[in-house]
Amino acid sequence: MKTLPKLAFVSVLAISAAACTVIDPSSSSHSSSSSGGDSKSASLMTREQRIARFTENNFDHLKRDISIGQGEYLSSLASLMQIEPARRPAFFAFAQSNFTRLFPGPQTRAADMLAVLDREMRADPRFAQRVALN
Amino acid sequence: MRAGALLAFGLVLWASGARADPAYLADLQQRAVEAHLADSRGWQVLLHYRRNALGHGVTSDADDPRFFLAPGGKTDPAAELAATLAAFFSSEPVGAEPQPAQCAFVARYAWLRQALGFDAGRLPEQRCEAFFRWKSELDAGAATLVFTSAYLNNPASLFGHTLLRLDRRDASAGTPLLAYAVSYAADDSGSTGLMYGIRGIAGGFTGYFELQSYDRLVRNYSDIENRDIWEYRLNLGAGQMDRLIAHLWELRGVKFDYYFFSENCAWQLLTLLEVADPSLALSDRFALWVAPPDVLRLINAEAGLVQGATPRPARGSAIRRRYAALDAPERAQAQAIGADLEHVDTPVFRALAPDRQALLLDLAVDLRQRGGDGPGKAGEGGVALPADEGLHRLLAARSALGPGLPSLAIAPYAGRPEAGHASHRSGLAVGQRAGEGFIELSARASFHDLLEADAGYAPEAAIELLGGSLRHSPGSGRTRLNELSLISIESLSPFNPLLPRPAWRARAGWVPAPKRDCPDCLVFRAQALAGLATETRGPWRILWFALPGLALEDGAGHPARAGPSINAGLIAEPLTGWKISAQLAHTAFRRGESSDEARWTLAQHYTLNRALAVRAAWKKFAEIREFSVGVLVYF
Repeated sequence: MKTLPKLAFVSVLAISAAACTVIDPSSSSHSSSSSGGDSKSASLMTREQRIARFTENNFDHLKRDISIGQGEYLSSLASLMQIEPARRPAFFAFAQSNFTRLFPGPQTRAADMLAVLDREMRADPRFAQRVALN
Repeated sequence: MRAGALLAFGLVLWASGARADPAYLADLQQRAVEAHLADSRGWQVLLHYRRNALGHGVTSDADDPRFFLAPGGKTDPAAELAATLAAFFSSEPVGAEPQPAQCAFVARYAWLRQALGFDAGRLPEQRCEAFFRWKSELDAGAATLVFTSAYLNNPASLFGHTLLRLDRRDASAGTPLLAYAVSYAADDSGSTGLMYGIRGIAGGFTGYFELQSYDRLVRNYSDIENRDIWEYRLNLGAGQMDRLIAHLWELRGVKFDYYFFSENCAWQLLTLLEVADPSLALSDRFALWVAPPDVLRLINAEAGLVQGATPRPARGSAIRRRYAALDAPERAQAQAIGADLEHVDTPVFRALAPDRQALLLDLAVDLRQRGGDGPGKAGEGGVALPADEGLHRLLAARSALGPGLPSLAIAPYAGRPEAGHASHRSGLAVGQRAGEGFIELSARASFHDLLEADAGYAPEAAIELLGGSLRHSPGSGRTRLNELSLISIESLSPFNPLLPRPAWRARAGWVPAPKRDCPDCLVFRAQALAGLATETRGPWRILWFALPGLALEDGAGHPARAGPSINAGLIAEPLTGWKISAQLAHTAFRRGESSDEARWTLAQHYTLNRALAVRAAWKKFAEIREFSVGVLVYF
């Protein structure tokens, strides 16, 4: 087989062979890990730790959802914070109206945002009781 | 006191791994034989047994001895079942994650307990704390099959990817991000080039089932790789979910041989669904090749299995949709924001209605946050997007607009993947070349070309692998190979000033190169082209493209040669399913044998239904004209 067709054949093998995504195992963990995959065992984590982890992993999305006052990431945070579905519209509007407090600058970190959110919720009678239960 | 002594004796017995009740074990084994449990579907799917292609018997797809308890368990279901029953009487650690057999193989234990009615007094049930903790963490109450669309920029993802999301039982609507997802993937580390392909085809890679948090997967696929995602909620009951979760526990760390074409990510998910519901017979439908879209078509054809599908558009889709929703003055404002963020404070921007301001701000945020480039690249680790003051300013402006503004509904550009034609294609055509009639038989392994209906496929993107045609000329009695394509990939996305991307095409294969002394000659040709595409509308949508690049050629009795090449043309769609293309491919070979070559092609394709289409083509090359018309069948 001549060089050019051989090179093409090798390329096609390499490309067509992958009928679906092949993942470098160093980038993720097998389900063989002792906990639930790529996370610490949630059953051993407090709810605050789960909130912190989700917020850190999805901080850019959360910041955007809060600026809009709605979104899947903000809903997920509300779910983790155990805010009842009926109170979520109020929570979303509350978060949006506090955007500049939650994110005073571009360098705001997830932990800082959560601390401010906790403080602001404690100060709001609609959410103070929920925060106290956490 | 006496009870304590008995308990202590029992603990010693367990600790020693001794069988507590040999007579009861023999009884269970005998009843299992009489009930033919080893041949039953429930046992076969739990052990991943598959009927041998040649001869009798079965072989498990699992390739890890730790998955079996009998020495010949991989091919002997009866021996494996007997050994499993024996192991349930022992506390000796077994399995890939060593622990007592009752805990290592919780799904097998539950299935055999139900089938044989274990007497807890004679076969005490062991506490599997680790399993219950893991199961509690997953908290899975439902399953969703997730399809991530093709990613043209990564050869390993040309066909998309499938995974199974384990939706949390306590999840409220809108919170699937908190779920885990399981996928089957290969460890391909340390393998490149030819060995990569050979190992992949020959099962040389090790495959594992992996569990990852879904939010991380969404970030990778949707944000960074810009792939639309489709989520298919499966109709699995509580018992079926229990079996699925228990079996996933059994599979932790278990090695499988990963075959790129067959035992891949798509196919292995089918084996999981069969464990959840043994009445499903899905994995046997594919023998040599299965790609993720094939699996979607299969599960959607299975009555009652899919409850519904939900799209999760990629960020790139959101950008295109939002840009398309703008009128011309608003598009000018979008570009003004991109050039200078101060624009959001100008009176001309403030004069817009709040919902239009919101749309422009959302678009600007999308553009800054899109993966891969710019300061807004999605970041890991919880740090605000690194020093992107512009993004922060946009979000602050967006929040100042207040609540209640309507959001533009973002739909993915490709329809439901299973709505398209099947991957494999064969065709029968008749035609004439240089006055000589022929009959042509063609076949294509996969996937989609730009003349075929867009339904279910990403528009303006095409991937074809291993296609060819044979021709027979009744006049001369000759039968010959007319064409053999190894690969053809093209992405002809219309140019978008906000998302500037080139259109490109790459092809390799043997194409006709007729000569006077060799009318049936083929030549190997490889092309790599990149340029621009644009679209016009009215009365029809027409996609125009011009792709300069390089062509290499080898064969046909001359040394390898190369030269600049350009492909230019159009693809029009007068009616849904009816497409027309006109193309010119011109190459000026200047390295090696010098010559200029032009290939003209006019073609039209009409899609009759998902399984049938007709295509006619006229071509002119090397001063030869040919015409053909035929039918294409998808399967």
